[in-house]
Amino acid sequence: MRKFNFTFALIALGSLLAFSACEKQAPELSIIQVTLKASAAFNGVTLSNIPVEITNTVDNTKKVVLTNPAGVAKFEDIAPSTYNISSSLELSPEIAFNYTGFNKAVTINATLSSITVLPLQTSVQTLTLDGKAGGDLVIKEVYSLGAANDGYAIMFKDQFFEIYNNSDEVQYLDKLYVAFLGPTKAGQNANDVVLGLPLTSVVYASKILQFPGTGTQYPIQPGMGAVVAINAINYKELKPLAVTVDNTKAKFDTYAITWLQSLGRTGSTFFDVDNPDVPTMNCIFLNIQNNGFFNMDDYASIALVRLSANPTETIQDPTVTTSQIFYTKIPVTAIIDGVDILAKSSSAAFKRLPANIDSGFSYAQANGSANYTGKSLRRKISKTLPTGRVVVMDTNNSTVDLEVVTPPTPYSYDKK
Amino acid sequence: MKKRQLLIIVISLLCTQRSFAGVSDSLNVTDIIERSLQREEYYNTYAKLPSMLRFWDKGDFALISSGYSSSKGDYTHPQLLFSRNLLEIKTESVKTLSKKGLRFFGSVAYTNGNASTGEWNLSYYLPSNGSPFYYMVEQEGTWKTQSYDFNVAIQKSLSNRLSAGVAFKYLGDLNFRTFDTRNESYTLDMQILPSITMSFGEKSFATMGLFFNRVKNESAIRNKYQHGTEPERYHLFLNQGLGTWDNSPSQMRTIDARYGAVASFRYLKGSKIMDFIYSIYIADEDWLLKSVSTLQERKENIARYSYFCQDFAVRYRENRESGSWISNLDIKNILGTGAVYKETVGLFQDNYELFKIKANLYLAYLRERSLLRRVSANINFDNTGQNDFNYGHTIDYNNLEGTLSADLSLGSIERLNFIIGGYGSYKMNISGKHNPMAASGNFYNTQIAMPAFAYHTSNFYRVGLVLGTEFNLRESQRVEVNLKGDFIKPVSISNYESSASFTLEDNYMNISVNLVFNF
Repeated sequence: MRKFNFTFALIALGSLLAFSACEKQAPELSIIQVTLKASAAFNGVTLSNIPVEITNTVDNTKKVVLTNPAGVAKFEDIAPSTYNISSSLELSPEIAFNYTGFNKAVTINATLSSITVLPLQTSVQTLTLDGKAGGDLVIKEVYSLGAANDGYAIMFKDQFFEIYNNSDEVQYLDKLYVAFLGPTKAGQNANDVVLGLPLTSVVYASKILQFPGTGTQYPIQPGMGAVVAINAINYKELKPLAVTVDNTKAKFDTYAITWLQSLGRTGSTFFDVDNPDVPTMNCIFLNIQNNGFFNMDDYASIALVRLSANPTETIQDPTVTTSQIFYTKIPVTAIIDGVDILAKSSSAAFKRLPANIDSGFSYAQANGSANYTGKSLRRKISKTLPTGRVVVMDTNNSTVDLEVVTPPTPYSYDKK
Repeated sequence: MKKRQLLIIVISLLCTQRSFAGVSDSLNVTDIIERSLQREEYYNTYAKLPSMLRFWDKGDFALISSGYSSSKGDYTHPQLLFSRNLLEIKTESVKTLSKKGLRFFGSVAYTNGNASTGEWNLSYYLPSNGSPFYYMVEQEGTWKTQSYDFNVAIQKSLSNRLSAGVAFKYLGDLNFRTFDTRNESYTLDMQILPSITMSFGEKSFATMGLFFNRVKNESAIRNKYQHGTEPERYHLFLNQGLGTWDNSPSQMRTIDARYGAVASFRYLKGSKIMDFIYSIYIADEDWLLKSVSTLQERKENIARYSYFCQDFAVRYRENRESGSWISNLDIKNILGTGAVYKETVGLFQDNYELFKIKANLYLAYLRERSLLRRVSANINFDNTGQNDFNYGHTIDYNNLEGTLSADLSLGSIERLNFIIGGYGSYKMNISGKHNPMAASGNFYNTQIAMPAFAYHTSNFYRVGLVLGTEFNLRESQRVEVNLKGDFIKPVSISNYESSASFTLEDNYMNISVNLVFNF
């Protein structure tokens, strides 16, 4: 037995050695080197010690590195993937005066989207910071994703957006336009196709509304908002347990059926309900022939626009071959404010606004699939003045400016 | 498929029926312990080498058993079973037709149960082959489970020196997740193993065999309800490594095809029997899209885990008048590589590797007709290494578990017999190294890898109790009732205590009861 045990132990040891481990393959990590520059208009601003952020659009992890005195931020040992890169710098009124001639704080920022970094590659990128002073009227909140826990009884009938006066003067909504931007696809599905039209001088509206009024009928006080509801109905009352909103306090609602019928088209009586006590937005353009109404896309990019006349020039969607889809062109120079809301962090290719209007984009969930969650995208608070007026963030970068809230919060920043 | 299933059932039942018709085969062996060793011996050696059945000295047996087992506790792998209740019915037999030179094995088993699993598990099991690929959602799961297991082996003596055998396995494993996100997971595991044995004189026997094993899984994943403000907990991922994952994957089916060979050598010397068994196989686990759009020209196969597995076993048994020695050594090694198809470049790109070696050494001494019926010692060694190239994320650990056990035999083997057994073990982590590198902020690292590493590198003790009784129902029928229970308690957490899914106050318990009719 003793002899056997010795033999057995030798076999065991020999077997273990024969099965011994092999060496691991070396990691295939990469480097991103970002050089920060300023546009000609802001030439001379200090570019050291400024945070630069990269977002891995596959796993949604973020990393922040400060620039060195040469304005360079180096991200080492990162996973090969696709990245969004951004940086922003807030200039105080005193410093901004040297560049803009106005004694008003300005945030300059820059974003690079969908930068592919290959294994073992050093990706060298340049970010050019630029910006303009924030607008007086801004889009404060967009609730387009639809209600949660409603048993699909409300769906997205409770959508709204809110315009907010971020200035210290009375502003008027009369005759301003609101454009819902196309295409509908926002990168949720793997087979979504990018529109592919240039975003330099125009953006592409699938639906356009106009505020009623003659010029001074619809004032909006400093620090106050105006909600435009798709349907001005109290959905909380209809479904008390749902994550939804009471839209009866909306300043405006939408109703397309009468307008569509006047054009020989049909609307949707199921989704489109008029509240006669709430002023209705003017219908300008709807790229759905029949059964359409003024709902926003789940992932909705919208723009507040000032134009002297209704826009009329259209363009056909080149990605749709089975039917004809048209968009109305909106000049970028006419946009007062815009927010780009897409499906997920990797949806940068689906941006519907140019960088000088929104240098980034926002999303409700990094991995997408946020419809019917009751989630809303709201502008963050920059500061609250002693008077109680809230000043919201307006850096022209919705990645930075917007936050996700649940439930939606109409009029949440209104001065009491 | 149905015809094949039917054929296997019929053969299995025939084997059982043959046993019923004959004399009480199972009573050739003395008691509960001897009978359990008999079955272990079958699965340890002869299930792998059907042509060797001819040379099995243990003789025939037949049984029908039913059992219930339950396990519960928080000290478990964070993705796996926090509780499980399982009912099993099984019949198993070996029958010899000496005149025709035939020997049969057949078994049929059915299990039905329910279970609750931890976060990030939408597949019920984690892959046992070391694959990184599995579906996951954050929401914990509750499951209904069923399995149908058919095994048949036939051995035929071709001449004095030559014996041939073939074994078939057919396992249907059905797991249904009962709350969102739901998964109806169907696994079909089929194997065919032909082998041939040649004897060289009276003392030496060599066996060669080939096997083909195909494991197919088909998952049907869907949500039934709205998920309110917590949709992220129900978001579907396909894990692909240690931080590499596919967000919102398509519905897929997997086919794991294994091609292997087995070789063994038996040597007899006096009352000593020694078997050396080596098996090896290569396999590809392919993840295939259930539907492919011809417009997009997407490839059907989007992920592949290729692996190489080798098993080495040594069996030793020495029978003496006073008792017998049993020694088993088992070493299993897996080397695997995971690759994901990249549409942009049109080829598979490796992103994951696994190295695993498990070793087990068992030594037991059995005394015939003695109060101290059996004493045994067991050592388990586990070395696991994983590497995700995309993130440079590596996980390595080495564990050792030592067990001592003893069984007492009280009463009369001929009439009413009682077995009281107990065992105690201690599992210690020898080393553990975790380096997430670029995956440090990835949710896989913080929510899966770190809690799992805390579990794998924790130390615990385990104590167990076995109570058994046996008696003759009729002259040719012996009934066993077995009750087993064990209790596992962590004693230290070496890594990531704050991320662990358990505390030192937690434990894990298993209990089972079995009723066995031996014919």
